[in-house]
Amino acid sequence: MRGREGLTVTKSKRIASGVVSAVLAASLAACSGGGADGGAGGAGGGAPLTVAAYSQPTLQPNFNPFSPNALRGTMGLIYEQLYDFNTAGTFEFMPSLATEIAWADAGKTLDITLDTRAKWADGSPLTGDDVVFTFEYMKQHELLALPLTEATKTADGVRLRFSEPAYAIVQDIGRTAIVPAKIWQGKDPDKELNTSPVGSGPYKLGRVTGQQASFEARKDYWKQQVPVGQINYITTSSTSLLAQQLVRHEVDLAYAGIPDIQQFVAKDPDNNHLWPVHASMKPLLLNHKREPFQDVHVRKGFALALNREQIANAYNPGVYAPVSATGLYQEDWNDWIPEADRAPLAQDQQAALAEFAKAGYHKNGDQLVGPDGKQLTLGVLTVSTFADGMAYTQELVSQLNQIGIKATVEGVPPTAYTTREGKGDFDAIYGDAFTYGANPYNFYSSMLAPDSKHNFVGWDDPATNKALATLAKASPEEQKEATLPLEKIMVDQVPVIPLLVKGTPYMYSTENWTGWPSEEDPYTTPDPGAISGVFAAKLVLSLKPAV
Amino acid sequence: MAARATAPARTPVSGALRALTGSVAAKRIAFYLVAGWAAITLNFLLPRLMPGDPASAILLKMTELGPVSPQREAVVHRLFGGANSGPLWDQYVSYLGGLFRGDFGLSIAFYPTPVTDVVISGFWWTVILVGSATVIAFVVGTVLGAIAGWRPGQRFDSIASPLSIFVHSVPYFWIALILAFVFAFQWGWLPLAGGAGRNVEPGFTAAFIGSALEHAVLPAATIVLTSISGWLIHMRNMTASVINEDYVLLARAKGLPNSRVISGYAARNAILPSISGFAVSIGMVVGGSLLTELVFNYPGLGSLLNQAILNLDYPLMQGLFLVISLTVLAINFIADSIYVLLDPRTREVS
Repeated sequence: MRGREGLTVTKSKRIASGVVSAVLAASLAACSGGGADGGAGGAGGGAPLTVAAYSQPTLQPNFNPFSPNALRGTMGLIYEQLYDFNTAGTFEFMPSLATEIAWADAGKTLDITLDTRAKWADGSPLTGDDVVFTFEYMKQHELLALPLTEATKTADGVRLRFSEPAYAIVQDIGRTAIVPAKIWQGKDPDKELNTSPVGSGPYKLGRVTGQQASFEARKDYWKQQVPVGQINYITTSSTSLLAQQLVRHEVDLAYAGIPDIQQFVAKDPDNNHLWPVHASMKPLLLNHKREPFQDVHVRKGFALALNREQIANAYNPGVYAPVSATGLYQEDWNDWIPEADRAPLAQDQQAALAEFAKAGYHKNGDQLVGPDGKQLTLGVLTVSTFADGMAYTQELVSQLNQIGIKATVEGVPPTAYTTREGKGDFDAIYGDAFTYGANPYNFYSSMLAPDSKHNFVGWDDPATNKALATLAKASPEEQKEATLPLEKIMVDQVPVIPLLVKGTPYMYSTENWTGWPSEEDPYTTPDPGAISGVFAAKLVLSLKPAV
Repeated sequence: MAARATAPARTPVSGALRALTGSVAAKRIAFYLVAGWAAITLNFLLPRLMPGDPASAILLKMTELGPVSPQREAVVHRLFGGANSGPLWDQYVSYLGGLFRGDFGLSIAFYPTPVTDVVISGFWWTVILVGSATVIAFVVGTVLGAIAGWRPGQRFDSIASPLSIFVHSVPYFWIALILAFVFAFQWGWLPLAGGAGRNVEPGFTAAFIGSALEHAVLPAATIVLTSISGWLIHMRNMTASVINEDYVLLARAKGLPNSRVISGYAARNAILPSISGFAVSIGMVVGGSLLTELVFNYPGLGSLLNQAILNLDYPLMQGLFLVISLTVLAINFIADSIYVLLDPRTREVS
């Protein structure tokens, strides 16, 4: 009987096929999205480079560099930005359309030298006029979060003037994507889908289907020969699917946290590689508006009670790493941190209990009880759909339980998480990441400035505000010095409790392409254009076909 | 004529009205109009009961993938921060106005793509995949059920019925995962995921259709495998009770061959409840098969619905729910009408 059922199922599949083929024609119009010409092949050769660039199942064509929903590749492959700094390496300047920058007028003027070779895909030169137009266009449409007062053309590039010293936001200025003035004049950046983009980058748009955007190398790219002929950015709806695609070498580059990541490397150690890039910090945030977390001794007690190494090893060991009490990652910011504060805080339960005692909390049997006789209790809010975040939070909570605190994990869906964060409806949060940049200004200000949208703990301290204002105006040479007061505040006052530096687990395969950046040669972040187009372009222009 | 209708001549008008409302068709149409309005209104209210705002949802997703500069953050807040503002009543009025113009607004998850375009992009994938799988499951399940019910307790019945109850109780996404793991990952017979080959240009070509078929086999098999048993058991039980009826005995007594008795007498009556059940499930087809589509990364409406919910994309959710609820209503209306034709007894009652 089993056999007979099996037979019917196969037959039904065949019938299904017939029916499907009859009606599929109708869907064709639906699934061919935008996309320009579909001509095959490009300048370079070899297999296409396939990147798992999206965790969502479907795409809609959008190549508007000013849209938050622009598909990846819009930045870096099609449009080029001015310059960037290599945050995976030693923060060195990475030229793109700009070859160099020079500050003047105490940080209120930035002179940008443009690469004179730069050309648009239609063959016309990319000039200072286009750059000036882009800045003015963004200003006019409220897309520019920079204190820019004026952009003017100079002999070899453009000059930007700011209303206040702009040293701290130098990276944000560099990440402005330049568009051709003649095409964008009169376009509304909020409503434009820009499905036939004309940029200056090494690729032109191939085809967008609902599940893939492909890019083809331009033979006439102004800077160099493009080695990778075709790049496919594909969708992968789940991490388990991604893991299977990686093992089967269907994907050359991915950067989403899959479970048991080391197994991917173990499957084929010659070809499969993992390089966690540390670009942001995940702290434990305590709500200062609630008792007793406004007490610095309580916060210090929490900081000392935790074993950061163990938390980092709770999920995919080797990807996250313990971070110093200043919040800065000691490996990358070594010479910014005073020597005494470089090592991450070690777990010391006795010292933790001593700090809690200063706030009136004493050990009573297994429980840490306060002056009112009640046990210290808190719920740690985290996003339930992120497996890694849940694992780290569970480990963190169990360590707090050991010391007598009644801590629980409050895993909630993403939408509830952001809502409760915004309303201040939480005891503690683990899950928010704060990004380092070319200098620590954005990092500290988003965490500690009273008007920041991410200052969920409610930190508002005159000394901090003064230190932030000084750092904002500090020239590159003065920045290290100007960061020290903020680091001291982090260590002494513990406004947030730095735990781990977040590793983005870039996984790549050398089966088809070699020349990837790595721990030994971190020339760029292997990013598909989600963070920076300069990073993405540097990557794809550096790859070589595997032999 | 108009004057007579409004002022003195009350009786002919109300008489006509009574005649109109009294008729079966008018009653049904009125019912479906009210149900349609209720669906449209619920569709407006439900997404707004969800916590959170789209801007934070989009930002959370962006920060998970990579660092987000304050500059981009400001743009996201400016574009989507006020996406759901204004008094509820005003929103409702403009929503209704938009519906009549066929304008569902711009999707947030795919901003600024219009909702209509997004829905169409997933519509045919789902309707073809889930639609054909549902029809196959219904036909096969019903035929097998009739066979099983014809001789309850016999060999076929004693294997098929428990087996289908077992399959029925297995979560279908689990079957999907197993199928994907065995046939696609381990053996590599069929593609792992997607709607069609990524490098195949969509078009009315043999290459594309072949590729789409290849990609549809596993998801369709998942749906067929898990829904076939419901039809089977239902039909088996109905047949088992119908075969004891007098008219079946009469048919047998007339010496008709077994196959004729099953198809013409037993099954014909037993299938009636299944038909209305089938109408409901055909209506549900447009809702997609959310988990199956997610496991196979299939570009259908289920995937879109998931993206809409994750991004708090109210316009897209509204568009999808509306398509789903209106299709259910429309198919039910058709099924209701056909049922009246099929079964004389329903006409007598009304």
